[in-house]
Amino acid sequence: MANKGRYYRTSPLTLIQQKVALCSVYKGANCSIDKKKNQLFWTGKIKPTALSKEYTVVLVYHPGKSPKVWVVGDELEKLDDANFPHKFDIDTENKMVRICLYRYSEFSSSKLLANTIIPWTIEWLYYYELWLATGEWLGGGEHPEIGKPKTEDTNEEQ
Amino acid sequence: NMSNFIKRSGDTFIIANPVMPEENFADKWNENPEKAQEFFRWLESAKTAILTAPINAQGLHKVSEALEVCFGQNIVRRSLVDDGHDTRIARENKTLYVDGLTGGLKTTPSQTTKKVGGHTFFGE
Repeated sequence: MANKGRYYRTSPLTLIQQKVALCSVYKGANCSIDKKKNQLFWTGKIKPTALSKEYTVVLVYHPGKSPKVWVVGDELEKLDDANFPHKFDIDTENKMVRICLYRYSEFSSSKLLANTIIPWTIEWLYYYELWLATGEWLGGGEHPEIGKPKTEDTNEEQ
Repeated sequence: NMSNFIKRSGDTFIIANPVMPEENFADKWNENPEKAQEFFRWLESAKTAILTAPINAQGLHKVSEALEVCFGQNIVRRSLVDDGHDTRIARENKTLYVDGLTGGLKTTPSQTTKKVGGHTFFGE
């Protein structure tokens, strides 16, 4: 007998659904949808612990593509450190870093940004401050093969 | 509140033994007042190093720097590493939560928390 659930795949969520979830869970942030570009833009201030700095985070999401998350501003430190952890790229001049939060299938357009990307960003910022203090990345994770740095394409939904 | 336990009667310092009030722990201070002055200097610097400076610092790394002044680098860093490991284990055990954008990471759920789902930090 065929396994009917084997190839079951949940439907992608619309940008409106993503926005409603983000706005209901994370008050005080700004969220908008560019209908022409079919793109969601979210920005908020995140303080990962009571003793932490407050960081500005920008999220841009286009369904079917990997959400892009930047941490921006003067609070960022050691942007020129060769061992700066789990990032796509760093813009030292404009003080911003695009961060790497997950691996391949851990996010898809059927998952809420509010349940995935934002909590993972809060966690990244916590481990970032611990890295500044100790020199160790304590959040675990994986690194791409040497000579094959992670690119945006490798992280897009299949 | 340590200074609240030190009484003065004229020029005499009194720190009464709670189980034997006739005993004065500060009797040496009354013989040599410089010892009392040195203690109060230490008390003020301890308040600054342990309380004021860490509370005023922003960022776990800045709090760490402030605490290292009085407790030393090894023990403070070990405490942070332990906290990082515990937080990671909590996530792996599905018992890590975020409380809004500024409420921080928690290991007990509430009406305002959201679970941090399993994921793998990736990239360089």
